[in-house]
Amino acid sequence: MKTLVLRRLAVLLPTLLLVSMMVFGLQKLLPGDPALALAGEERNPEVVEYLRQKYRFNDPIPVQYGVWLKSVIQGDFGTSVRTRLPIGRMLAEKLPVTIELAILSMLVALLVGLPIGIFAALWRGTFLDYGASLFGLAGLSIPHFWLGIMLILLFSVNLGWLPAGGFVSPSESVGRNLLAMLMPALVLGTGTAAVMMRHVRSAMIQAMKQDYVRTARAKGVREGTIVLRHALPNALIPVVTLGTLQFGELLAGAVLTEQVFSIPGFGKMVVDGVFSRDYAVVQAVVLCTAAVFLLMSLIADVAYALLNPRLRS
Amino acid sequence: MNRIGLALAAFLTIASGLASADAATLRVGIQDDPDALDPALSGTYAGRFVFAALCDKLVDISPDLKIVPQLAEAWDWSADGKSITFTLRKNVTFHDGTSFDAAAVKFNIERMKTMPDSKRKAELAPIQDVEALAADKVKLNLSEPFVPLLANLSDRAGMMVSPKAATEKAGEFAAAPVCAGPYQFVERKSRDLIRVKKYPGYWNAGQIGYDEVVYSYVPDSTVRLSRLRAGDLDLAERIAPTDLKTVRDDANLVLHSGQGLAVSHLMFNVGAGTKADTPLGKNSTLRQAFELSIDRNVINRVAFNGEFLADNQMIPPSSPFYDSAHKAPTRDIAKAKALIAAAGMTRVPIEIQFENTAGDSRVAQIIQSMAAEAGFDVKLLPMETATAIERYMNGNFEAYIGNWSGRADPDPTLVAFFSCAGSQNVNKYCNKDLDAILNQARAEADDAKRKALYVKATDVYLSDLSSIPLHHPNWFFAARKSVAGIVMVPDGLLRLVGVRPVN
Repeated sequence: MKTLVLRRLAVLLPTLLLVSMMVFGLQKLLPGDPALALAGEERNPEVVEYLRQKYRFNDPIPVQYGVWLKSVIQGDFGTSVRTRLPIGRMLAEKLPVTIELAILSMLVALLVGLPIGIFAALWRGTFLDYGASLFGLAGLSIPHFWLGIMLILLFSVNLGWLPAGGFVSPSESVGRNLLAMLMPALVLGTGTAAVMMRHVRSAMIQAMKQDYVRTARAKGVREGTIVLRHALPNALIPVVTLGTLQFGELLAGAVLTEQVFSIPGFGKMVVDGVFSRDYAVVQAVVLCTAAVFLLMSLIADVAYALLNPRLRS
Repeated sequence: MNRIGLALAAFLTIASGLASADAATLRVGIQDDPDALDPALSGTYAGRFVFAALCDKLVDISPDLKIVPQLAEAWDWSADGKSITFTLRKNVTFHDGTSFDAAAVKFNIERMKTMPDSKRKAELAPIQDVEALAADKVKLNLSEPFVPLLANLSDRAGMMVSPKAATEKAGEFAAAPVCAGPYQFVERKSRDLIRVKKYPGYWNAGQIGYDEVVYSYVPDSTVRLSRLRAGDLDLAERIAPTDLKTVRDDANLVLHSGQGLAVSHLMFNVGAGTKADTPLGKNSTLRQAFELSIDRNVINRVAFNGEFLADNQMIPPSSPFYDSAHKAPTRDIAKAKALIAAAGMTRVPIEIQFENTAGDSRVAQIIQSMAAEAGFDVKLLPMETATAIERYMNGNFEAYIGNWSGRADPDPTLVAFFSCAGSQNVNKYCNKDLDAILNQARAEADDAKRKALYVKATDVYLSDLSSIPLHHPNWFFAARKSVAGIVMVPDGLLRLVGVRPVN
């Protein structure tokens, strides 16, 4: 196990380096002059030129990358060229919000997707299974943006039960924080729950056909124990893979949900950064997301080993 | 029993205190995340919107676009128009407690003129030097008479920041600005919110109704409106024209609307590089035919539910210098076809570039279908904003749908777009006669004579038609009924003096 973790950690740094290089290079391929985007409506040529020099837009890309990398190694992510705010502070504000949203939506996905998937597999071909398939289809095909607006109209505008958006820090009030996160977590979680449900269902169907299940039944083990103790842990392996991947995706892919509920997370930050050619912001967010992604895959590996003793060696 | 009663009374007092604290917070939904919060560096409307709470200016504009006092109580032009002396308001302090005086004005103007990345250089260019005559008297000496200076000082160029804070914080100033406005900066969570609190030392503190204002960044207009309707926000700026019916139908909301200064226009490349080499770029008759082929009212109705102001001039009708004699021509396909035929053509190709926003895309499509009837083969080229701006600034377009935020005075708009060396003259239009008229107008202190000059200028630019103005967007703010005292000003900024909560 220790070797596995160490091996994984060893590839972390080169991977991050590669990702940052690729993103840096790809960003520079984008058309549009960042200095012009920053110079205000009048775009005074003198100011434009000053900005190009100040932010080294004229330097060759490898030089720009080197300068960026050096400051990141020293722990300085730089300053947003648009807002003049330190990016390190921006990350410190946004990362906890994004992670909280990802965890809560993953919780929704697990609470909804896991039981429905198990029941659909156990009662395969029944109305319950068809209902679950319908839920899966709906969860996958309903756009987050639309679902978000509908939930706001119902729970905030008409019923007045939940805040329509915005973020309250848990340090301010845990209750208000959870209330504000409920709808965004539901919206994001629904899509993930649908994917999870389908995977759990097919993995459970496979697991229930295995010899050890038949043996357990022959030994007279209760059906509930067979499902929970024998079949489910084996069926969970693909779910762990999926869960960690989905979690990584939730970190940067929740743009629309963040927009609908005005959640100040990573997604909107990276999109705004790309549109305003705020390269340093995009780099920092991508680096953080990649790091969390890699960390998640490490957690997944450990989880496999815990679920399946054969993988521990 | 008594103890229980006391505890209950204490609880109720605290609870009502909390409730009133809540009631004294104004929560405003803004469409864009402001850029740097330094008047010298700011380049966005959202930034100006927040500055209206933080930073007072030397002068302000009134709803009818007159220059009115703010930090300067009075001003006096010299006879030759080459200097202006301001009498400053006394007992004004910045949020750090330092005094606002003539030395502070001198510091601010010099800072904006010399900071390398200052975006105010062009607005203050005519100022040669600043003299602090007394604590409350400051004189600006100009290189040439420049009447629009006052209008320039009614925006960011006239915003005064604390010299002490600007010197001490230098590059960090934008992260926590210190000005002399009704509210002082508390915190900014990037791409989330900006919180400001009432400045007790404000010179007009009695007129400030809220203890705190929170500007929340809510980019989508539908979401902004939903949050307003749910009571999460007290005011939302820039409501989409398509959502106005919802606001009007909601008994808890009040729609505040007003004419703006902005203009949307279709600019033709008439002289910038190879892209100017098109029939429409070379021939003003064809551009007139193009104007005849479109119906501005239809564009306004279809794209903006008829809520904007269809118009044919760069200056909005709210300006005292607007020329009401130059009416927009009505759509006339037969005449447009005749003009095309007179130019020896039957079909005229043109490519229109625009930023891929919902509004501009709709406008472009409507123009495409209307112009086709007269014989124009319009190709549409939507572009993502940063790319569009680069191509625009480099003159890399045949035609471009431009959106200009407008200014209180006609000079900056007309000079920027139509003078030969104008900063926005990216289509390289040049008419020496028009240049002469515009130069004369900026030096003319008499309003009537100045207006006559702008009438002449309008005549020239509408004949040459290097750009076809299409409409002026109006401002639409929606607020909950509990917010009183909102006054709409053409610059679309929310002044907080006089805005107060009501039951």
